[in-house]
Amino acid sequence: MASGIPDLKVNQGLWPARLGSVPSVLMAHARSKKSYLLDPRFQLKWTAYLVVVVVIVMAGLGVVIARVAGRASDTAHLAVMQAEKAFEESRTNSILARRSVQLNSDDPTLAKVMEDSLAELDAQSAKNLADVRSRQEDIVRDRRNLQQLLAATGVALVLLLVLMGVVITHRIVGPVHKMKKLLRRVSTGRLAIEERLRRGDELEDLFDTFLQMTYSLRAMQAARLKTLDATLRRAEATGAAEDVLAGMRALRAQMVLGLEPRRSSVIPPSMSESRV
Amino acid sequence: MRQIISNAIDELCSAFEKNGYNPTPVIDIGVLVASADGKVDEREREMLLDVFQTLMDTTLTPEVVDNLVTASLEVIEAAGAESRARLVASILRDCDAVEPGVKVAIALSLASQGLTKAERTVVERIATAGGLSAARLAELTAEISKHSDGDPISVRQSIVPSIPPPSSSKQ
Repeated sequence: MASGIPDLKVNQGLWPARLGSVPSVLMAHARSKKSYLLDPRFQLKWTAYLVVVVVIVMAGLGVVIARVAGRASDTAHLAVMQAEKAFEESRTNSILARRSVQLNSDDPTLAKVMEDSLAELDAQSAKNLADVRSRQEDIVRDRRNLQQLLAATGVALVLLLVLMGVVITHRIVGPVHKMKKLLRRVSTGRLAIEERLRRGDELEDLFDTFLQMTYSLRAMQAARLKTLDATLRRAEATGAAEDVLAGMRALRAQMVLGLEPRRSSVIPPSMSESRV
Repeated sequence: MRQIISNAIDELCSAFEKNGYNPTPVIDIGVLVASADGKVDEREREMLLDVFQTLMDTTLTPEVVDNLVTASLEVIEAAGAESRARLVASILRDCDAVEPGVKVAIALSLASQGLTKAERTVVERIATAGGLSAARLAELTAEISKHSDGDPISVRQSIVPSIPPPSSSKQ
């Protein structure tokens, strides 16, 4: 008997008129906000943990590097002081040597040779001192550059970590967010799930298990529905009481609700027949 | 009043359908409001039957709807009213339908015995969990209450135009 028990798909379009416009998965996707902070509390907390750990490590390394640079700077300073002292001693020795030559030697050639040698020695000492000072300035400049580089790298690293933390946690929070939403949908009795995870999302196994669960529940519900349909047909064929039929149809309407992804019908078969 | 509630219900059902949800949260909203004082009395149960049949636009028998209400009550008892209100609010947020949901909750509150303190708490719980500001909730409450003449039956008739007038409401 064509009992008026419609196929689920045939029954589409009979959902109450008040339910309004035809839905669209695409529209829903387009409407959804592209936000990387789906769960700010969770994401920012773990990002902050990551940043704090890295900042502590960086601060430790920074202290070590600063100490090494400080020692290099101190050594350079000491070297400059030693060089200045050596320069002063060299100059004093030169002066003494010149005076000694002036006092003890009448040979102008020897005096000139001596003067040239002392002048060369003075020039060499002055050059050495200038070199040491220049190296010290280089070291101080390098130290300052290193400090600036460390500070800039630290800031850049923290910013990068914040960005990466948000993106990485989003890979986990995204699927969780989606699953929470789908679980809420299942909690309303809607078992038909069309959504899937994005490529590269984590927790694929969990999502797959969830989908398997909905498939099982749908299959069980569909089997129950078929049994009910068959019983309903037999009841209609054998002229069962109308209130019994009405109860079975109402039950069927409830069961159908969960099986259709959109535009479910809760209209009992006899009503749907009359509307079709 | 009828227009406000009708629009809210239309918007709510449309949002549920558009987002792939069954309209069962409406049952939860109704039961949460009706059971706010700790029990669903006969009058509230009648109101729920009227409302759900109309919302679902179907000839579900009172017995079936009664079973749905009982099932919802059991879930609320098991999960806790606050937790259930949060879930309902989350579903309303998923569907971008917090305001219509809260409007329907306010209307259902008014349709029983007026907006009691317990019912107000439930409505506030849903609104807060749904991210609705207290100011907006006050506006919605004022808007709906303004159109209510204080008689629960008239409010019920706004939600369910087909229900009989007060004199013959008990059949």
